[in-house]
Amino acid sequence: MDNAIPIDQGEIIAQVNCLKHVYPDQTAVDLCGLDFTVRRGQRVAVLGANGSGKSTLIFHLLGLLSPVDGQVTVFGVNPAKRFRDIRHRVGVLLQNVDDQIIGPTVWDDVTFTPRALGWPRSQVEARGNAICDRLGISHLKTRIPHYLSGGEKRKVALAGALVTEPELLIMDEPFTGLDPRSRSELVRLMNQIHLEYGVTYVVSTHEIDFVPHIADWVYVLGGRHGITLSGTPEQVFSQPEALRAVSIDLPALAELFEVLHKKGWDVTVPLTVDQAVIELERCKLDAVAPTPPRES
Amino acid sequence: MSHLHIPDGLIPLPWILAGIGLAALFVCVALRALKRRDRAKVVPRIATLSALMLLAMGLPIPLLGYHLNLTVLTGMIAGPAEGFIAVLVVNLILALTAHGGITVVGLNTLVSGLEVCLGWLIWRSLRQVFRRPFAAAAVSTVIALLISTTAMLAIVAGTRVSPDLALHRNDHAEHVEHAESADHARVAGSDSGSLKAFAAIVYSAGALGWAVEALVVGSAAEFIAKSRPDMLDPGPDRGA
Amino acid sequence: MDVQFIDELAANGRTPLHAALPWAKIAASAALLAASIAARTPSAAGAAAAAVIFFASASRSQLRHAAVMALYPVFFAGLFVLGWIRSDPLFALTVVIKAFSTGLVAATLITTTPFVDIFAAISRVTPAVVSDALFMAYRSFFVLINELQDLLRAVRLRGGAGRGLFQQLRTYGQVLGVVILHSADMTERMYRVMVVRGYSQRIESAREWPPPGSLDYLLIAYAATVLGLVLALG
Repeated sequence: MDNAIPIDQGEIIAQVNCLKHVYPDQTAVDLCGLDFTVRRGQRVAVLGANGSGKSTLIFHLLGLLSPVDGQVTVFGVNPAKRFRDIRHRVGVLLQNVDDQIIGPTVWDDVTFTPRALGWPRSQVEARGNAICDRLGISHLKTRIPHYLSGGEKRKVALAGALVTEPELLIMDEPFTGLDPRSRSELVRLMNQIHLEYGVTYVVSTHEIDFVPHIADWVYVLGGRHGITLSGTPEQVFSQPEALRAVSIDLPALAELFEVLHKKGWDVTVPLTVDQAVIELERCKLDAVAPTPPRES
Repeated sequence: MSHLHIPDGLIPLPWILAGIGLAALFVCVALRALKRRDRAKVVPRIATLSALMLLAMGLPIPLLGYHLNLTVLTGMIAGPAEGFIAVLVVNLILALTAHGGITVVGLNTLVSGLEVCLGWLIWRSLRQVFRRPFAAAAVSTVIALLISTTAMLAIVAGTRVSPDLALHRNDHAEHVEHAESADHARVAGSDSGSLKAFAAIVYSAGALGWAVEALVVGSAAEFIAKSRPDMLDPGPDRGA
Repeated sequence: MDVQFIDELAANGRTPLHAALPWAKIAASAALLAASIAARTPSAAGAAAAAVIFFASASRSQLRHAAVMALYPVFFAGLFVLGWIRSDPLFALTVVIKAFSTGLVAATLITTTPFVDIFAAISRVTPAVVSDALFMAYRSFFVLINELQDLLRAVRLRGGAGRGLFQQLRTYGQVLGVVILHSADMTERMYRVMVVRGYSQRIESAREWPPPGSLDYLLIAYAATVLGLVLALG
């Protein structure tokens, strides 16, 4: 991605080292292997099949779980012990928005955290109105949440997460339950927010097709050591066998071009439709002035 | 009709106030018991249990006029402290929907709260006696509802709901002095007769309601015991 | 008792009573409730009931839904006074009328005023745990009802709840068991949300109401007059 921040630059705002967690039912999650690091301004995707430990990682970043072993640091503190100190710097969008919306009305929910933090009324109103305007939900402010559509609820939850202008936005499976149009809209919104507010975000997902659009850096969970792969989307998706080993298929577009490549086409694997168009147009030009097929 | 919700306009003011006062006292006791627990955990649990009770009331039971309450199951899952607050929440919502009086929310909460507490207590005792959770839960339900119905009848009897009291006729001039003693004798007689008739209806119709509730609660408890047995083992101040 | 239907009536209605401010409706309802309960004679109870019906008729076609809801307390009041029907029919009639009018007041209020507005009023006089649980119970109800309906639909599609009443009730028990298990997971998720969103004091409705209009004053004046008249009637 053009706006990607190299992994070795920028301030580290969250870090997880060799995390081990055991749930009460004795299910153990081991997230050793590669270290997990989030730098300011990055868009980080955490990819993994069901049960790979994505939610465990997210809950540790939010201080909702305490590790048996390993170290978790967010803004320099252990979130399991001092999440209160960093709460205003972290926004959260969880998988099931119905559980996340706790205010009686949309406005009550959007302004829940600043009011809980004891912000002055004028500041609460200014921030609440600004974020409602920004996400296009001002007309919903007096509505009762359960009469909203899934996409509207997601926007309300996102507004509630962004109202404190967090530096880090953590999203756990944000695309779950959304129709394709709402998913695309959420992707657009996430990127706009990243650009406008400079928010660093961590998003866990198994919607692999969206990853190239929403991430500069990808961590892949699964296998024996938890975090098995990391890199830019291009780097990660250029290792299809490693991904398949942890039950992750390539994005449909990448898979198509991988097959073409195996059939001898001189193509590199694109991650977005735009890249694919460029690649196909190049092939078209090559067809006009044919070159012998590449040896595969 | 596994239990009755007392409507407005029947119970004299002192009893209404006493009911509110006593319910408030029990709420304070429950809140004190829950003080040590994380409120962010307690509130959602009370809320979901209240929602479950309201949901159960909407289940289409194929018997005219019957609906489920799940108060006993709430006691079994949440214990007396969280359970009592959950039934207060439910009774507040019921009162707003004309399903039990607004002014008698206190008394109705005391009756439902009694079911919660008894449900918790009897379930804990009977679980060791019966091998199957179904039997222990069903028997707990019947006993708890029998006692709470009796308590409700005691409230009605205790308030001495009688025409003269309820309509305040003994304050009025139309009560001519020479008729007073005969009138009182008639009222006392009809009072106890009416109460007996009322009790007969409540116990006979109620018994069918208790059976319905016991079957449902027993089946639900058996299901939960197989899947999440820890949920049915609350301490006095904690839930699932 | 269909909370979902009631909520839809209150949220989507467009009648004069829906347009009135919640606090004005609550105040008027309290006065009418007091009038209904204070009625000491059959004629006073009848007058209060007529006044309540007139008040409720401002909700237009919704009056019939509120009236049906008010039949529930009538049924139970009927049971309470069954023994007095022969010995003192006027007393029995008075109690039944009072049950109807008080039920109609509550039903009219709740079918024309969203739950959250009434809960906001209740939360001013209840401890935080109770008022928060009230708000969250309302939210949870609408989350869980979808699940319950899905499960009941699945039961029907898979052959129904059973032939006899016994089997049907056992099936209901199992369905409720499933919903209870899911609700436990939901409770855990809600807990996480409350922690990360900074829940500490209490959930409040910051809903702002416009200044009262003539309709609001009219409602309160009407209800106060009814209460005064009923008290005067005795």
